[in-house]
Amino acid sequence: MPALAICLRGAVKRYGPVTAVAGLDLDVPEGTCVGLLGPNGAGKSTTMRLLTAQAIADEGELEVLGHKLPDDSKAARAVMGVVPQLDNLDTTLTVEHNLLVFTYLYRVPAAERQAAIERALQIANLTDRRKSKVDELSGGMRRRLLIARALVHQPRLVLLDEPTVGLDPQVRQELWALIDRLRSEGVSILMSTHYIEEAERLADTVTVMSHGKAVAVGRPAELVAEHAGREALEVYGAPARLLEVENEARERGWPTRRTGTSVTILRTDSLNGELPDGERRVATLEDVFVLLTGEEIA
Amino acid sequence: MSATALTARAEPRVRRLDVAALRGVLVREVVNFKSFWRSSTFSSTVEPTIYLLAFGFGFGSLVSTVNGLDYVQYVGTGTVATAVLFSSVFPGMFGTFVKYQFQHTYDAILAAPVDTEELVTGEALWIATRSGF
Repeated sequence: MPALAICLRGAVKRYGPVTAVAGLDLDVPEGTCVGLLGPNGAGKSTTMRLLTAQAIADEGELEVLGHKLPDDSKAARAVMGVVPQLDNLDTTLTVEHNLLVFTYLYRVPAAERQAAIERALQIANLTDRRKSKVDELSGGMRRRLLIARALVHQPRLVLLDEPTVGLDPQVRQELWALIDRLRSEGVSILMSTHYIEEAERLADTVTVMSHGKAVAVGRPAELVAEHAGREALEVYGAPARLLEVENEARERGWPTRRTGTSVTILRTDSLNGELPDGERRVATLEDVFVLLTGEEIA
Repeated sequence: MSATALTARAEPRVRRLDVAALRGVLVREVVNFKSFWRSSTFSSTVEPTIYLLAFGFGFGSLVSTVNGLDYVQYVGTGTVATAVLFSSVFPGMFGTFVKYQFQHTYDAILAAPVDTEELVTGEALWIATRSGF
């Protein structure tokens, strides 16, 4: 059993009447990438804030790289990097100066400072834009810089809070490659996201969160097999027809989910009876996600 | 017992009000200041100058002494004092609010090994130093 980079047991965080995190158990084994998957408001960002002790848990035990939170959180923060959801770069500073400031904040020894900045510039692929102000960079460049900034001190653990939100597919792929490279170098990663594909591609294990709790934990492929079966059937049609299909499926006890323009019947490989016409496809993590976190929008 | 105490101390302890943390906060401010010192120095010299002209020459032509003091001395001291006051009050009120609420700068700093009291001390030190000069 490998050591755990992050270990949460029964973490609870309340904001007045709202319970954002309601007894969360979460394990991130060292050297792996764990995806924290959940709809908006499931408590992903609050979990991230608990891990940096920017929010203090009301209950539960939290441990990051062997440091108990919140008491030893400063020591934990010194060896982890945080990529926030919201861009908080200093926009009037140059790329290089943004990194320089963080070498001080993360206590990189003076002799290694310049090398750390060069390395981060290389990671972000911004070496020839080092003198540009952040204001002049594109959205993708800013995000790369934000990630590189979290890596100046060569952390052992990186927290990524929805790292690819609002980026185009090319930039997203670029960031995936970067995250994959980090993992191959042995860095532990906790990444929250609500992009299924991202979790499927990058995460060794996925924790699906709903209403502040972990509702499923496992490898993406195992979760799909366990919760959504092998195959699914998409039935397209007018809204009235979709409702009809849904009712019929409910009568026969078939699991379904709505996919907007279609109704998906799940586990078709193990169902008896005549199925309506539709397109067969392989079950995905998205099916699991919707099954576990509900179809209603909170 | 002594063996466990030794291993516990092997990892360098981070302390409260760390010099390294304070330095991080101050370096950020200094680096930022280098990017906008021109405009801020300009405004904080021009404003008291206009005040001095208006109250010195304008209002000053109506008043000669205040409480036995020469009016020019009275106005001069007051202008310097308000200039110092404003150049610390505005960064203290609006600067910190913007960094907290809109730029989320403090979120970034507090995710680093910097505690709240170090951030507050560092920012206060910087604002005080800046207005002192």
